[in-house]
Amino acid sequence: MLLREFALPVADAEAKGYALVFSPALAARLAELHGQYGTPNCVPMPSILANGKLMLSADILTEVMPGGLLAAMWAAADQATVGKDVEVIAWADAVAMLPAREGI
Amino acid sequence: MNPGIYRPSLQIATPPQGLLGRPAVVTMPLGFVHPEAQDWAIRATANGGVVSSTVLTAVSDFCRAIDAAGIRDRFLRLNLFCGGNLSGALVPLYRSASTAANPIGSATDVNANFVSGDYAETGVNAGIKGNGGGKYLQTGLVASANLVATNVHLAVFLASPQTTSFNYPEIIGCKSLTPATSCEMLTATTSSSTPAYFGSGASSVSSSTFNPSGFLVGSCVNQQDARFFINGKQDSPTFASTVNVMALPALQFYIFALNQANASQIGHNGRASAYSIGYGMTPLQVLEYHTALAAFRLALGRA
Repeated sequence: MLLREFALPVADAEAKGYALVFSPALAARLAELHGQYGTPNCVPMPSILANGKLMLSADILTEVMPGGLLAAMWAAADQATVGKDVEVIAWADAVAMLPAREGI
Repeated sequence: MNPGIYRPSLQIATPPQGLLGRPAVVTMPLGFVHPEAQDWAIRATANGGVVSSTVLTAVSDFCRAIDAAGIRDRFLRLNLFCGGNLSGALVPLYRSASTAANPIGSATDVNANFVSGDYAETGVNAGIKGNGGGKYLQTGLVASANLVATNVHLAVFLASPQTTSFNYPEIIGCKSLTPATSCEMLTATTSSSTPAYFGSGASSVSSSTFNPSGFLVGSCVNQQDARFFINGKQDSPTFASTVNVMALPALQFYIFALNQANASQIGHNGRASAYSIGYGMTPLQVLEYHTALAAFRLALGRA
């Protein structure tokens, strides 16, 4: 599923069941937007998956609605582009692609 | 000295009276808000938080308890995760070992990916809930610049433990690869070979308990004395290192994840309601800290 097919607003509990997966190029664009419109109180910092793509928990979407910590950033984003460039997958599938620690 | 906030509700029932001339009632506040609690409340509010009188009183009482125990100088950074909302909870109470010292680390904990729904201020579910997959806080407190391996503590109150079975979920830490050195605390589930673990460049120690929750403290007061504590009690052997003391990483501590060479690794999905980073603590000091934190938790309905 793509983000544009994901209904917003979304409840926190439901959103925690999904992950947003996207390219490093889009991550760079979003980081630039956060630099302009964001706050240290909520910084989207994606994790790197084993396939080289980047991932955020989909509950970050609970902060893009008016009044949310990322509302200004989201309002300034090209939402149509973001919607088609972000894949939504099950959270468990994303966690399975995180690198593991082999030892202390 | 900041006298604190006057709170009419704390006037004494029979105030002292004037000594000269006709006795006159002198209204005198019995309770002051501790100056560090007051300072925190101002900073938390400025960052978007909402500080209730209940929370302010609890924070003030906590500060007094820490002062009375004589352990204020053990803390370089402490955050009780209160302040009415997530933005307020990102403001640490302590940012240096004394009020006279310059603050170190970031003014607020920089929030990587936590959302408002991850946070509750009061109740048994109070704290910030990790997800084990990329949510963490950046403290800005660089280990090597502020601590040495033979005199360090890391502490966290884990209201709920790690719930997913994977190895070595990190709750506080930083690690450099070259040279290979770390300062960290982690827990592990029963599928792992290592229970909770605290390590610095001088020593490392593992708890007897797998995947613990509650008040976890790892402390090293010298190369011959590193211990792990759970709820104020020692839960490990006292470890005496025979290896060479390493410098700590020139990296900032992350909370809820390991900062490995400036990248977050190995997140924790427990719920934490306080953390601290600072100098080493003796068993008695850990117990005093535990007692102060327990009273704070009770005041906020966290216990």
